[in-house]
Amino acid sequence: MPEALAALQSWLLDGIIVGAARREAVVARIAGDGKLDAEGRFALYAGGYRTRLLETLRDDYPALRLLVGATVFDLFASSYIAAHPSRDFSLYDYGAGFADHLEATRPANGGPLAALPAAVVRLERARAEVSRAEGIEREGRPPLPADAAMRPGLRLKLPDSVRLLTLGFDLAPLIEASERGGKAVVPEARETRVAVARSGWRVRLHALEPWLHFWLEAIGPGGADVHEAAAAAGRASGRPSGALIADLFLWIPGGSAAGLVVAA
Amino acid sequence: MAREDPKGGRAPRLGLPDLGDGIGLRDPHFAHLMATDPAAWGVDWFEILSENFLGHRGYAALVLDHVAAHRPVVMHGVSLSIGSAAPLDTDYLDQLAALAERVKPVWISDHLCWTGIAGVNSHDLLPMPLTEASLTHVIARVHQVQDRLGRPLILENPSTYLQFTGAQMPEWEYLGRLAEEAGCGLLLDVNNVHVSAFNHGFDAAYYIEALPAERIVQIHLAGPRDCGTHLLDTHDSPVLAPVWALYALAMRRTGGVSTLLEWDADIPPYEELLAELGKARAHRPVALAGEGAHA
Repeated sequence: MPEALAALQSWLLDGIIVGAARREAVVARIAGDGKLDAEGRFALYAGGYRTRLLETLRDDYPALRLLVGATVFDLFASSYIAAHPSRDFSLYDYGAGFADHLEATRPANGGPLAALPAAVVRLERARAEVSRAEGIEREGRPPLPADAAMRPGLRLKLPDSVRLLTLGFDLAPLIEASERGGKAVVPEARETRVAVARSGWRVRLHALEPWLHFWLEAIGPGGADVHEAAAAAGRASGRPSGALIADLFLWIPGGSAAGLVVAA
Repeated sequence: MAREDPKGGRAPRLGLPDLGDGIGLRDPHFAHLMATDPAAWGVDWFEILSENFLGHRGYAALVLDHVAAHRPVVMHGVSLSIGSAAPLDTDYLDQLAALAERVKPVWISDHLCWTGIAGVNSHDLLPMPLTEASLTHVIARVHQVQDRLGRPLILENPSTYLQFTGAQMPEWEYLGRLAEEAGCGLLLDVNNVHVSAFNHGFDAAYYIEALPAERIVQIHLAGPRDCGTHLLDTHDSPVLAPVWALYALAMRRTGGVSTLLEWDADIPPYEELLAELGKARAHRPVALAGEGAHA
């Protein structure tokens, strides 16, 4: 590695990320002229870095922006950008840690709503992941029949295009408002179990009963026996596994058509 | 098959085809492209932003597969960071190679720039110090990339807003020597030439005249934003009149190369984009008719 090149590039990038550099260092390294001096030229790159990441987060998290407004959103995003320089070539991955950052920096005495921004971001990130994942559409498999629940030894799995979340808020109305360009809806604080899944190339949010959430978790991306997963879900939910299998008899055709499960 | 230069010199465009006039494949036009007969798309080819499709297996990938089945596709990247002092990102190169295996692009391009160092990425096309040492460094890295991808790399001149003190050559000389010594092609962005010429006070036409014409594989057209003290390469507006003049010059010098209209922000409806591309189509024969007179 040419040392002079490495030193120059490290200096410029450090300055861009911090957003400032000592005037004498800028002038010594950058040629200015009467139209635009060295500091002005440096500032174009420093400002561009912050703007680019800010716009990325705005594009990736529209529901949070709708909920908290543009000013507060930019405060959240600026805090993340200052704490997390981008370390990946992909801008898609830049916002992957935004929810954890909001969780870690939320006010300790902010009340139950303080957890809301991180919850919204977590759900929006899951939706983005599902939109890009390998789905079920290309395979063109028919939905599983109802009697799949009755077949001992049948193994099912979650497609890559499924995410399961437990959230402290009902976020479905907010997501719907964001998608339709509507007004912000303050989410109701209550435990909500959801699956984000894709079918027909559309990403959808599915509210889950606790037993179904446990069953889908037990099925998992690696796949599991339908009845063994029902036994695990029965233990977790306190329901008899026989009752779960009866419910799965009704649920599996629609669930597989919605892209939530496929044959393993 | 490489086409022979009628003047008896080296094959133009590294032997790569003149694809005609194309546009970038962008999300707002996906629905139109999927709903319209490919015969009515009105473009000869498409350029994709490689990073938008790396690891993507959703609807965008479906659209890309559909488009690639009906038109030539070229992969254009922004993350190769060919000028960085940091080691090449092998994960990125692997993903690029995998996408190329799927899409079968006619060529793969990126920019003469660096985007980061020491594990931090600016997501910007940062300018190179135009020195002998950095040129030697970039030539070696272009060879590495070409070996990995198994094809010549095509590099674009970026828009720049600063130049480092201690430059030892102008950008056109740097690019020309890079192309000759590394065996790579050039993607001549005539709007970037216009932007950088305004920002740094050089002669844009001289820049284009000084490049090795037979190395130019593709041309980019776009519209910048006038910020008073400088021009910004924003890709959000129609092509400016001085850029059309540079385009005509570039077409005369090259004898005709693939032309791509870039529009990445405030993207207009598809038909409006085609109307702007139509201007390039109108310029092409006029410029080429004047080829002999200019030479």
